[in-house]
Amino acid sequence: MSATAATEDVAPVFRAVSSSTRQLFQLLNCIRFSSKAQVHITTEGIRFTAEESRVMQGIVFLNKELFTSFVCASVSDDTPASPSSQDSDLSPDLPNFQISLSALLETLQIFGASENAPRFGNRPENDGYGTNIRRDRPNAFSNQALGMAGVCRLSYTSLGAPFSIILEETGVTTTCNLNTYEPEEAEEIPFARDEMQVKIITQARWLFDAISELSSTSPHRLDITALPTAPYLSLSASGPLGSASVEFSKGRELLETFTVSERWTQSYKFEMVKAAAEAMRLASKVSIRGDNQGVLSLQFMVEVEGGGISFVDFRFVPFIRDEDEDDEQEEVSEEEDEEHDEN
Amino acid sequence: MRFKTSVRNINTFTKLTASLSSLGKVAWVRLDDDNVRFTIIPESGTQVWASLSIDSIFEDYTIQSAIENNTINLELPLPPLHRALKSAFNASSASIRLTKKDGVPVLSLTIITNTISGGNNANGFLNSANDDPFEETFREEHLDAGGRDREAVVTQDIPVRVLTPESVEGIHEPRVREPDAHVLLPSLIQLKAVSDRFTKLAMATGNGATKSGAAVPKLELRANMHGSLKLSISTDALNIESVWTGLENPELDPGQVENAVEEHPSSKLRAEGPDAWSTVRIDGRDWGKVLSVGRLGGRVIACFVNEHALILYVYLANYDESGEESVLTYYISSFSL
Amino acid sequence: MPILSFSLNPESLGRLHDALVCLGKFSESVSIEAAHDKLILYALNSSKSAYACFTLIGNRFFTKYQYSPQRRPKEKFNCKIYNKALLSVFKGRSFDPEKETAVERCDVVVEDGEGKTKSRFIIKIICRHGVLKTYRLTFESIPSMHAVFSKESANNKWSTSSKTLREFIEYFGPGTEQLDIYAEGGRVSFTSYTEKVMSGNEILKQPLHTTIAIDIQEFADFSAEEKLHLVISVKDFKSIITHAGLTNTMVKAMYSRPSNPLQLSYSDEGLLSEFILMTIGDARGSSAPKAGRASSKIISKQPLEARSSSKRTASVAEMGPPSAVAPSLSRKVSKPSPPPPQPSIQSNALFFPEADDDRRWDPVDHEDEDDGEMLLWDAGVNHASSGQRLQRLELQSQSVNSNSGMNVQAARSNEYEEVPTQRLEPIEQVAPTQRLSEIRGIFDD
Repeated sequence: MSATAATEDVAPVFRAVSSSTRQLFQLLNCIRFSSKAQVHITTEGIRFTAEESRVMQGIVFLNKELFTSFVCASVSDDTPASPSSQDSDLSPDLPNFQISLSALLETLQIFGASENAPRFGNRPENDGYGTNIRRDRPNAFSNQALGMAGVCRLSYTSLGAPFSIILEETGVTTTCNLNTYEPEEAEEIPFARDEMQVKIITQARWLFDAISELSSTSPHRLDITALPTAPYLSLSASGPLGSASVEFSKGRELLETFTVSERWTQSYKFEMVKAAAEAMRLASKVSIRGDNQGVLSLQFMVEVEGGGISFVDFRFVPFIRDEDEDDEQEEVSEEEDEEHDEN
Repeated sequence: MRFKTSVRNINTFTKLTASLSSLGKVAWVRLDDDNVRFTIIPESGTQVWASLSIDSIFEDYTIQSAIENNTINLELPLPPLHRALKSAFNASSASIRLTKKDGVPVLSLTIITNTISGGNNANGFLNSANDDPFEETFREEHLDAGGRDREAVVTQDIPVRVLTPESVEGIHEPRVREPDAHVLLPSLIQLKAVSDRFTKLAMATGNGATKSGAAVPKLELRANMHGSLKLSISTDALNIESVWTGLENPELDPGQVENAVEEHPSSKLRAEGPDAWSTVRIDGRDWGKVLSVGRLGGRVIACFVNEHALILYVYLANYDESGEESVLTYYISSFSL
Repeated sequence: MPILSFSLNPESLGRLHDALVCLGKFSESVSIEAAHDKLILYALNSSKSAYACFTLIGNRFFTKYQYSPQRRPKEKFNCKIYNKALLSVFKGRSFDPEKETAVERCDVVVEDGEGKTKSRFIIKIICRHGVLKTYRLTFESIPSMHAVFSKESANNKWSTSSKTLREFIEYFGPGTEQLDIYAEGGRVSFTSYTEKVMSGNEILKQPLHTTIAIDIQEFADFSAEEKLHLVISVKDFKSIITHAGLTNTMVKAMYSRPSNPLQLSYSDEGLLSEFILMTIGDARGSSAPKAGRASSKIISKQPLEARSSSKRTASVAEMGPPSAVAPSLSRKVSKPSPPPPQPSIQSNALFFPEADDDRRWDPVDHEDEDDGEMLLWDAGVNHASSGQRLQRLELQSQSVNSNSGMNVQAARSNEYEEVPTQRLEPIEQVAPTQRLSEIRGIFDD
């Protein structure tokens, strides 16, 4: 790899071929909440980072195993990347730029790579009433419908060059050049692993189901509470129509790993957590972690078709709690008491 | 004045009205002894001149008027016609006549349909809860056909205006110079899928004002005389292009060309080689509407008049060999840069 | 101690949702009345021309039903809830028991606060693996308000299969306002139309005029006067039949004369459905069928919510006994106004599952990508469109705290009208979770 970069100026610093665009799309679609993404290409894969107002981050790492061929050389000739360089080394020599994520996603869907999954929260009610206009019906141009499997070539020749995607199908070839922009050096939202207070591993669908449930109240805020005893994990939200909560009271059946030493409760902007819904839908497992600052980390394990595991990471900064907290805490306790009485 | 006919092919007629109504809500319909013509002339956007052989959609066709060739000119709204035809989907028979109701002229579509009686079907055949677009829905019937089936007569009245011959005299099909390139288009569903994505891409990553409607994305469509078609669009964030190759450039019929075939602009473009293109720029959204004609499943030949216009000829399969050809002609103007 | 508690199995939960969807087509709020043996959910449209009512039989619809009145044993409990809140609780749940997140049971408890207890409508949805979803909704106490239908004077009756009617309503195109049900010579016709006078190009904007004619044999039972034009709102009829068509049942119609109410009813395993619709006077009377149309004037479009104040007093008194309404009088009923703007979803109501997926050829609406929410909203909140042309139903109401259950008809009726549905209790009072007052701070940077 290093030899290629050192000897041929014209050789692209990065090129990769994937036998299907579908997996790439599915993974990147998890972070579509942002229209732009920072791209870091390393010798091990491509990292896409999306963020929102510095309080939410989503990271998708496309491991090179998702590609049938993957070649990445260092940008500058004098420091060739050696095969022994560290896995997630984000050295400034490696390609690093910003692109329009929405354009990339649209491009990958040119031939219906997407299943056009139901958009979260927008599903029309299954009321059996009349209309067959279903927003979530399968796209007529989905892969299956058209019987196509896309071959996709990605390349990036040099600093300032576009990020190119070539999609080849029978009879038609599509070339898309996405303009690349100066990277915005986004700081990672810090998560204190050594100050971790909560760690729960469970099936991602439980989280998806809970968030879907709560979204019906159109809430502004999501409260997450983890307790060492029942109900173990509780998600709640209130909106103009009332309040709702989802509790996992049979914790042991649902929560594979459950490490909570004391009551931990934090609040997040609901819309932000909901933005991770696509990942919740797609992933098989999720690791829910919280640190002492209240930073929430959601790590999704996605088993993509054709084997292999990919990870999609989200981090969220909590709402700052105000001084009324104590009073309100009492109210919560009261609520909980009621529930325990009823049960 | 008299017009009465049975509808032979409800499905084709329904698809025709669906395709036409995407471009305009009102059609001028000219019926006469020879054929049925639908013309859509929207205030802006693509014009359609559709000429259908009577046999392709009608049978037992009766027309009478004082005008030459028993011509009747109507102005009719397409959405209600489409809606009415859709409701005849499962009809055992459907017929249309021109009549007056309450002093207002209407095209009256009479549908004879068998109703579900007994009601032991889980879903009425008209129920539309079917999510799978590819799953055929069959109407369940009683074993003893005709035993319990009962008829309902459904009448759908579509308001129309009967036009005088003078009022339509001045409306002529556009005249365009000989095209520089002509190509048989690839699968319209693929072309539409790609075109719609491009339009969406341009709107999503667009140059600011795209939502206002003033700056609707313009797709660039190019063809050469060596079997290639290119579709492209550029925005601030990207440029994207799809290329189809191996398409057919149909031979010209010497009888249809004014001068010698070799003098024809397309022959010249062919001689210039595969890098010589004829280009048009078209409104992405309008183009998406035009391509909805793909539902009719005809062969589509695109004729490029460089930087000026694109003309699509959609040839429909004939009901029988002998009948006159049915063709829909779309006139699409090219935008200048 | 809760005033009301009941439990539903997943199937009943789905049926409750169906009923709520139907009620949502009449009003944006649902009134609930609890009695010792049944729960009644009902709604009255804003013009009071249509009343929809579902009676859920305590020991049949529910797996458990307990009503404990606080003061007197015969006392009923009445409240009103914003339907969208209920729909979002019961919406689109998959009742597939195979599903990991499937619902196992739903428990509802109503606490009617007096003094320190809070008034709450608490819905607990118990799912597999012990996942518990709890909703706390606000409600408003209201007097009961039911439309009155006199069965004694309803000498016209027919009944037919819900599936047959379900099939018919598919033919009615969007944009029409009225439905005329008419019988003559052994045939019954259902005609959907809109009365408008238009000229020139405007004529082409006239909605489809649809008539379905069937043999009287199609009805399970038909004993009604012939040559009688019974005119109701096509939209109300569609709303009802859409619900009725979900099950295979017999829809029974009862009525007396035009300008008097029509009752449609059907039942299905512990759920009784009843609708009372005001009918329009016989403007299309056989003596002068065209006159009404030709002479009617275009009435300017009225906003949905607008109510004519002069009509506000309309109530029981205005509606004499059915027999007293002479045909000539009924012709004075105001002419229909143009249809209100239709929700987009309605104009797209389709006929049949397009087996070849014809829709994929439709032009892409590039600006309409994100209105999925709107669909949701429309399903829940569908204003009655009947506008001004229909007279009001006769209503019977009870004051909210009246132990005597006395009738306070007209006065109460107005009070009801003035209660905006938005006037739910302030959210702050009920939010069970902490309120973090300055939560936005972090985003302002």
